[in-house]
Amino acid sequence: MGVVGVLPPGGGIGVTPGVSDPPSPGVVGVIQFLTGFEVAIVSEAGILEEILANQAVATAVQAVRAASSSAERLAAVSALMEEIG
Amino acid sequence: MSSPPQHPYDIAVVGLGITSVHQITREVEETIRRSTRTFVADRAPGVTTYLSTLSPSVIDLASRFRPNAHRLEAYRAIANEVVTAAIEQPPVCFATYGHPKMLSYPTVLIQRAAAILDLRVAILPGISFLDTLLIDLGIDPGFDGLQLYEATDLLVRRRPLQTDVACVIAQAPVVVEPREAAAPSSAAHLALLQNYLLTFYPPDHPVVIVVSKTHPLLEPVLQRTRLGTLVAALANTAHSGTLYIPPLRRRAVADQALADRMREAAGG
Repeated sequence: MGVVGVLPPGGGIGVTPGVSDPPSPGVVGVIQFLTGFEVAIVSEAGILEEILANQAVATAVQAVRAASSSAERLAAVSALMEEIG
Repeated sequence: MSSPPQHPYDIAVVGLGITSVHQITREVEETIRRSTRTFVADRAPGVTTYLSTLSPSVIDLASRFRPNAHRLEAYRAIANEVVTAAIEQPPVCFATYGHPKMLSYPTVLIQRAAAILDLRVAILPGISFLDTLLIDLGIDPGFDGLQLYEATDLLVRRRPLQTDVACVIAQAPVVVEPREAAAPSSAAHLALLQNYLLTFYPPDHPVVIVVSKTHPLLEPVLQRTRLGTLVAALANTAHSGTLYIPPLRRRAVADQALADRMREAAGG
């Protein structure tokens, strides 16, 4: 059986191939996660959760999406950078 | 009409190695060729010129590091330019000296912003200062292990050191110095590092400050000193110097039977 629609955890459907199966022609890459260990071994995951809970980040992202010129976009991303690190 | 080529990333973050252009890998070169723009943070001679032969547009980020400005300002400015360019005309490449996941804060900012803005990031390794240090010193961490700390982080968290394991301390010459300065940290700051290390090692313990070569015609600089005179040594070294502290002693084998079994397996 080939790999069908392999997505990150929470990303939707996925079929696990047998180890000897050849890859499906449609598969361009398989992402392997250490299920259940992501938060514990990657402190960045926890930091990102905190960042996403920040209202100023949400506002900055909206400004990035709404930017209609390069100068506006640069200023909006700059505001985002101030919030994330 | 053919559709534009699809790339598996919007931002590629790649490492260029330490020794000018000679340590750039083929996969990094391929990635730079495929990117619309390449932002370069590498002051080694010839790098920007060489990358201009691969990329249609090369932006040298060296000027973002303004004298006496807080380095975080430069890191944010770099990440800002890269992410903005990726939104407007992907894929773009951020090419940094060394390894992009070895003490590279712009990489962290780019990854965070990309995760928030739904941009795809690919990161490709480069030869890091640690790789060249192992060569310069002729050591192999497989035998006695290796502990690696960033100098300021070591002091801020007062991290414990294991004295029977070799220790590498990165960014020792600029310890507790958040600003882009022409000279190493003040003697007072360097003394903080020396005094902390002296709580683990004796003052006559030998150490080496390593500055790997940044051009193939250069030689690495190995500055030997004692821990008790570390301040003076660090004050006269390059910003990029890395402190190597050899172990005080070798840890004895605790399970001789298990060690003997390993020899038997090898027929020795």
